Amino acid sequence: MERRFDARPAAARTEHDEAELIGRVATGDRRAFETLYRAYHPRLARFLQRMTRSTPLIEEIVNDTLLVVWRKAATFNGSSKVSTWIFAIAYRRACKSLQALDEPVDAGNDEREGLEADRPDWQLAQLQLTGAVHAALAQLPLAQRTAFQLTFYHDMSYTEIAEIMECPVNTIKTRLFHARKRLAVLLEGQIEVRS
Amino acid sequence: MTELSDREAAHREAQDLLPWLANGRLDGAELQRVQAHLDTCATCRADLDALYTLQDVADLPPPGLDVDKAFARLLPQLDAVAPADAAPVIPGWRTRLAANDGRWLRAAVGLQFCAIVVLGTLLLRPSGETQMAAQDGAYRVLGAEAGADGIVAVTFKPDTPEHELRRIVTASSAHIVGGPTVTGAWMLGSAQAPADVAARLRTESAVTLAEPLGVQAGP
Repeated sequence: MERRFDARPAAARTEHDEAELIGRVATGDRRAFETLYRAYHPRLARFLQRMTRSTPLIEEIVNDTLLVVWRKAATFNGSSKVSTWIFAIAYRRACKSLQALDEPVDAGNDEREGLEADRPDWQLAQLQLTGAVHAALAQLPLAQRTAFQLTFYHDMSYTEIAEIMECPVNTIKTRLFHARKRLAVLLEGQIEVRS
Repeated sequence: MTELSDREAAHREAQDLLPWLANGRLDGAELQRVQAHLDTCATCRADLDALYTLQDVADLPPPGLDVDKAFARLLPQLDAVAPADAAPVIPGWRTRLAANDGRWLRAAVGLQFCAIVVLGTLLLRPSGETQMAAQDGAYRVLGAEAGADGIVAVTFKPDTPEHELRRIVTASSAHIVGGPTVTGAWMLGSAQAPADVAARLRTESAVTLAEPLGVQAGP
């Protein structure tokens, strides 16, 4: 499969526009905030659905996150991308909410070995590919799942993900490596994912 | 042996970085090294194809979420927590600075050029008149020699818009002859006494400092 690995001028433009939007939000510009809200609501909702299945909780975390953006826009110092800043807020609030609800945040289990032993006994082969991938992702530890999702569905760099998850870059690479290894097991026969 | 180790190291690096090659976020030397390795490694090429397949699986939004209703629920809270407790910074300027905004850079270069021209003019000007003017004191009355300008150094609040700055300068019967300096000060020239101009400038809320510097002789 041939793909191009070119520069991302469109992404750079988006980043520039978003930085301007944040500047306007900091002055209390509600129209700018609504634009930012509508851009990030679906992205954050997709991101959070891998952390909790509760739709009301997802909406609560999204709104809490964007309320923080509204209040703290002036503290955004441009040292990171706007998207990194917002996703980091969402990730922290989600972890906090899940801990408060006593839902498992199994971030410490992502370096486990013996992956074959964790393989579920239900028949992945009978599911459609999309369903199978979603089901397999749900089997990953939260930290691996989050790193995988930010990489493949939100197109973030490893430095941005490290910033969001507040851990070293090498940890992110390790999480992705183990995530791929586990997906290879979970999706065996449906997709060629090797370690 | 060394060649084998190098190849193993390149393979390990490529394996670590394949996810970011797949999402297009790899660049520079890393991108070149991984692409070079892919040319010689069928395993990594197969893994990359598999990652593309994973990436193409849609990450659907959760069901039952309505962005309009969610935003409507958030709106009342915006009133309760206005972004007024923000730090005293200039967000627009900061974000532009951070993004290396081209417009800002062009303006900065323009201002630097103006400052160089003004300083160069002052340097090339015969120094005798300047010394005499300085000896005459900082003030210049209406009867002073024609073409001589009183100079006032003035600084404005950082968030003062350009049109407000222009209004203040005009209302003070002055004109900009230089700046901003490294400390952000502008040099204003005026046919009126510098002390009078400075006093008028100080009545403006946007002015943080106004000090008469002396008299600059005209051409």
